[in-house]
Amino acid sequence: MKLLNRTVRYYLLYAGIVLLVAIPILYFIIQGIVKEDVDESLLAHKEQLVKKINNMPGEVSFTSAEAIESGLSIIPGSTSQMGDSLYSLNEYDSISKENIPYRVLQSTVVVKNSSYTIRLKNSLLDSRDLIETIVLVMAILLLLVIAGLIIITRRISKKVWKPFYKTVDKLHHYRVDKDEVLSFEKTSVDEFTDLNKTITALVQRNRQAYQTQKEFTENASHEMQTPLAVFQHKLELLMQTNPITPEQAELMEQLDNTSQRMNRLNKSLLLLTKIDNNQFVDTETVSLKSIIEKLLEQYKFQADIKNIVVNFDLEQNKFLTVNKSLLEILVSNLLINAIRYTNSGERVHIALSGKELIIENTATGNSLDKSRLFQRFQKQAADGSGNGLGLEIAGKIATLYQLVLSYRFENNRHIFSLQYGE
Amino acid sequence: MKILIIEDEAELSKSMAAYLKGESYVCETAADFKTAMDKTESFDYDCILLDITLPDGNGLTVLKELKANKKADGIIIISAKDSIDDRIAGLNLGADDYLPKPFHLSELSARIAAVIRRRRFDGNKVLVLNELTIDTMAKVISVHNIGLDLTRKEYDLLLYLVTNKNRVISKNAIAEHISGDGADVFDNFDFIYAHMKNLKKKLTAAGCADYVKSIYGMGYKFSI
Repeated sequence: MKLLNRTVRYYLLYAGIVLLVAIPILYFIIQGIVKEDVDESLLAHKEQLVKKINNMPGEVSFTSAEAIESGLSIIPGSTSQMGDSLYSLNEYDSISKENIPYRVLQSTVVVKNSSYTIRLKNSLLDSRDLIETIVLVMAILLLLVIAGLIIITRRISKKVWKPFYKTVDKLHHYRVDKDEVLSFEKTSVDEFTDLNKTITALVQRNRQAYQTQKEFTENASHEMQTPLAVFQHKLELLMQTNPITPEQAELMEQLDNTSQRMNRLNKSLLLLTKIDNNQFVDTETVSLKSIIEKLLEQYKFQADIKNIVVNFDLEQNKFLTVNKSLLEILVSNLLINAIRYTNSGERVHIALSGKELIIENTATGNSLDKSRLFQRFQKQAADGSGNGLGLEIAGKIATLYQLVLSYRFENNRHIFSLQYGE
Repeated sequence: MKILIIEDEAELSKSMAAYLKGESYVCETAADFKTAMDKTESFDYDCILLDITLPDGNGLTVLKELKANKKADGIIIISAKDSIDDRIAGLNLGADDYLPKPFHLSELSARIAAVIRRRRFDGNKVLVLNELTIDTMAKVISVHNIGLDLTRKEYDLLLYLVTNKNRVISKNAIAEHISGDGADVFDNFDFIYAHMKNLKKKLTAAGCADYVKSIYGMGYKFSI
């Protein structure tokens, strides 16, 4: 759920509660005020009536009371109750055919030495309409205020949160291995300035760690070259010594193979750091077909010795704008693996189409572990050949040129596919 | 034949000198830029092995200076930085070859021999070893003056063995030499045996003595 919606949801909940509670309360308060008002005017009216009756000459005519004022009745004699009593009453009105609420004042007064009961009543119908109108208007006003609040909040929130979304977007596109500096726009909101500052610091630390690691690999491989060269040279000189026993020769051979392996490993690591450092800037339009043909020629002997048939199925040639030596390394790493891990007498198949390049070979075992396949030093064969960097290099080169290198296992065949994409 | 080794790593220049001495080369060494400049100014060499990264200067400056003085010394750059830029810069400045570290001494020896051959002005680019003749211009090998029908790889292989004659060349060095960068990823020497077998067969069939010897499976030696 979006932050904005969450805020608005709480606003709505609060507004609903306020409305539900406020409207009945408002209704009862206004009703109370009106009642009090009517009661006061009834009492005042009674006082005036008593004065009037006192000032009347002769006998008080009770029957004419209704004529003096509607709703007024004067009855001689006192009720058991002395003083004023006020109560509400609903009376059916035959004209409007509805119950009409009344407020009634019943009072025992003494005029000219005799007791009378005066009953005064006042219709509450107008007041009720008034209350209802007031409450309605209030409710509408309240609703308008809430609706306005929600709209304004949404608008302002969108504006206020803009730097936040920009930051998120920038982070989304940030890659630690790309040489770009992460910079954020200035914002007037302290929290966002703080957030951006923290992120910048974090990213800088990450970049530094990444850089250090990269430089370490690079320096290590560079520094390794001299001792490796010295080792190899001394071994070659040792081979020239005389006499050499068969036992010594065997040891030297093993040392030479190991030295060769170390050299290759080092070379591969250097190549990886060079790819990481973007040191292959020269690009040209390269024909995949001619690269494959060149490599097939180069490895023909290796395939022939293992009695492996390599077919090249050319459906459509593809030209890529890349660094030629890198593309050669990519294709040759795949091809070398295919030849290396195919049993004698089996088949390696290469298919080049306008969509992808496929290199497949008959598997000797099960499917390879896809998740680890393109990672460093993830050898999944125990034959000692290969240094566990070939596929990582291939993957890195593919990524560099937005090519998609993938692996699948079908019908007991390892299939590597290089899709060009657009 | 005089060779100058400009290399700051003492152990490396020592090994190179030791290996090349056996090839009847006279080797001198220079461990820094200043010595290198002094020596190249004062003497002529048949071939100079030049390391680019020197403690007190850039090897490419030595190269520029040599070319500016119209010196005819052959130059092979040996560099720890195997970068295409370096290679191109070196070759553009007039170096004859570029050899990235680490390299096999036998490979170095073969490259030096090639540079010296190319720079000979007397036109003598033919190697004669008893009944065996190698015309490096025409890339033809003859035994008793009869040309042999060798493949390109067999020719390369024999020339490599001959330029390192009387030395043991390891199988790894041979593999790297005859198949370039690509083949060193295969830990498979079967193709060397195959090439070697064919070569020896063709040589003996033409009446050539069996000069190529296998040394306990460790490598091969052209003994003469």
